[in-house]
Amino acid sequence: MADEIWTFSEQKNNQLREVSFELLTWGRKLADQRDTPLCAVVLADDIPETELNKLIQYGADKVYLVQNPIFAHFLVEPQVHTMQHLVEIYHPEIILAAATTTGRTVMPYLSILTHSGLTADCTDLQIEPETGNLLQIRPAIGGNIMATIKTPDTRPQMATVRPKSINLPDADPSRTGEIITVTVPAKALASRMKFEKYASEGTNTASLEEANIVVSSGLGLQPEKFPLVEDLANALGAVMGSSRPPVDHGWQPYVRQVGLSGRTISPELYVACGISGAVQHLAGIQTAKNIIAINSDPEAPIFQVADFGIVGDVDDVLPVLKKYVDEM
Amino acid sequence: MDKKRVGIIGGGIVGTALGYHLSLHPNIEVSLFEKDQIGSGTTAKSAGTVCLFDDSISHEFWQMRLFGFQTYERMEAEEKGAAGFDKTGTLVVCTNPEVEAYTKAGIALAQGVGYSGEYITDKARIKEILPDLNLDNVLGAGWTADDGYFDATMASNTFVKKMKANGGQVFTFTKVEALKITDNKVTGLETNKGSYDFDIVVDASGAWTRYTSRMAGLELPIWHTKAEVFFLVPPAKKLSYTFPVLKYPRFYARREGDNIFICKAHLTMDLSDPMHAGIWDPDKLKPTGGTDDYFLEFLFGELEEHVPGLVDSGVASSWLGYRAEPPDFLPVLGDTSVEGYMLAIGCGGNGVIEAPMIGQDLALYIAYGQKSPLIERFAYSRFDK
Repeated sequence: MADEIWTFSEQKNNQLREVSFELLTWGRKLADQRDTPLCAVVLADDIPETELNKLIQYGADKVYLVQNPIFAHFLVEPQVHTMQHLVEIYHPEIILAAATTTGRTVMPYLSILTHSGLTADCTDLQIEPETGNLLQIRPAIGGNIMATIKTPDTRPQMATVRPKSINLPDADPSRTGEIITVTVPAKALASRMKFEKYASEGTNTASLEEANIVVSSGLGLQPEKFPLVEDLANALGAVMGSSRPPVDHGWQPYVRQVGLSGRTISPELYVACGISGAVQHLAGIQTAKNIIAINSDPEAPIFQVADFGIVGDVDDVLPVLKKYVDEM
Repeated sequence: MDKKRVGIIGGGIVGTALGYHLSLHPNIEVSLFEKDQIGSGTTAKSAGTVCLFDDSISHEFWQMRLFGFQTYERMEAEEKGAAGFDKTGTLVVCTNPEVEAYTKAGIALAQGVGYSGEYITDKARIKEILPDLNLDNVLGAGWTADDGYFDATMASNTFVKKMKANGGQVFTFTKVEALKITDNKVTGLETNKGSYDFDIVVDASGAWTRYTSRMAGLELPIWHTKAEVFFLVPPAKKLSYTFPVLKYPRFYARREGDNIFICKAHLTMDLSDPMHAGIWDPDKLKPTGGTDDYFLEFLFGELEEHVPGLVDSGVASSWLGYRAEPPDFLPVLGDTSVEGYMLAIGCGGNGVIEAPMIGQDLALYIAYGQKSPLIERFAYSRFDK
């Protein structure tokens, strides 16, 4: 089975996350070029077959399922050691994962255990025609160059790709595939960590990476003005983000931070409120489809990347924007 | 958890590689039976050459070749000597355009996964690698410094060590004397040391396959070809250079200490020539000797033409081994007409190269019923047609 391409699926409460299908869309493209099987790996506690069939409909030839109560909540050790066991018995050629918190936690750990390389945050993946090697393409040096990275010497070749970096095709209900339930050794399922409870960090902390619309605030916005941003975000059905300074000040939780030291996101629409647009922040939003910037300083660098710029005070602009959205 | 109990007949390179891969699966309980020591028999007589690009198996099976090579490479990296790797490199000498094209394609495959490889036409450079060659009728040579040969006995023992660490059981000096079969289904096996129950028995007995399969009432299309190996003492007693694995279409050679191991090429064996092939009793094989002058004369003829620098070598010793293979020279894997009696046989001269991937894929088939392309391609049912 040494020639397989794998995707590391993500699920929550036994429901597959959309990014799992995006990974298969990437994987299908590569598998067709290499003419090798595409396989989705699912670690879950009790996932219905209808969910697994979706993976086949989105392009998987095989689904490798490991079912165990330990996968009810995300715990890093059982996930990584289970993946390590699967790599040991199957020796896949390529593993793709999402550049989400889960993917970014599991894959580096797995790459160390399997002595193989990992390219994080790819924006494009291709196959080198002469060799069949995976070409891992991603921005580097603050987005000033596009780097193409190969891993010819070690297997598996591993990469994470950003959510929303590929358009999801329609599911094809006529596709057929195999679901294989794999048993892993007890030691692979052990965890030194225990799931206690899930504590929310407040309202509006849905996954930034998967959001279609993100409204962010920067240093230009004092905490007492946050309700303005929140109102607009709720009106748009958006997830809230932040640049780094408000997080450093403790005004916003770290999960909201967008930029080099936070999340890299690719929403359809990004609204930057009171964000000057430091290069570290821009690196996190360069694949956003549309950017609206609101800033009182007409010279702010954010306007150079914005598709639509509004010079003005957020106090005045945000309520007007919200009004328009409400009317839409 | 209900575990599948699997018994393996044969502790050569194929049986031990399979035993190790089965031991990775928690839903399997694996036992291995070897009537002698681990890695004895024909495994001990193997040249152990695992070359990145030679003609031993076609490029169609490149994945199998690469997986085999990298398995032993990893084994050696984990513990020095565990696979007995002698990294001498390989020189594939091309005397006709077909071999040349094949070699170039192999070089490209090896380069694609990061190994060095080049096709050399500059005869002075070929001579630098192997000064004793005659290059008059040579088109060029494929060269890589990255491969060489392994010690198949060491590798078998390493597989067994890992298999035991995972809970597998190994019985040496234990001869399988009968299969227990009820209603055309295997239920276990009888040995000279007792009776054991199994859900599946895998026959990995190599040269003994003709005889073991008769215990299941099968007559397998497996013939023996002679692997007659001669150990040459070079004229100067010691070579002044590292002798690589040397591949010509009709013979191959490698170093063995200060001596040279030389043998007629596997694929030049003719199953219809009684001097080359037949059905013999491998129990009668001796550790050394038993060779025919026919092969020695053939090999010296080849040396005179291609490696004149070695023609004045003395012969230190020789041995005879049997390669066991079907008419298409490819392995036979998986199910037979007797339920639960599976095969991992017919590897002939390529057991060392093929064992790791056979082990991996057959283990997955036994553990999860998954049929890899290899299991499909090498199915016993191909002889039904």
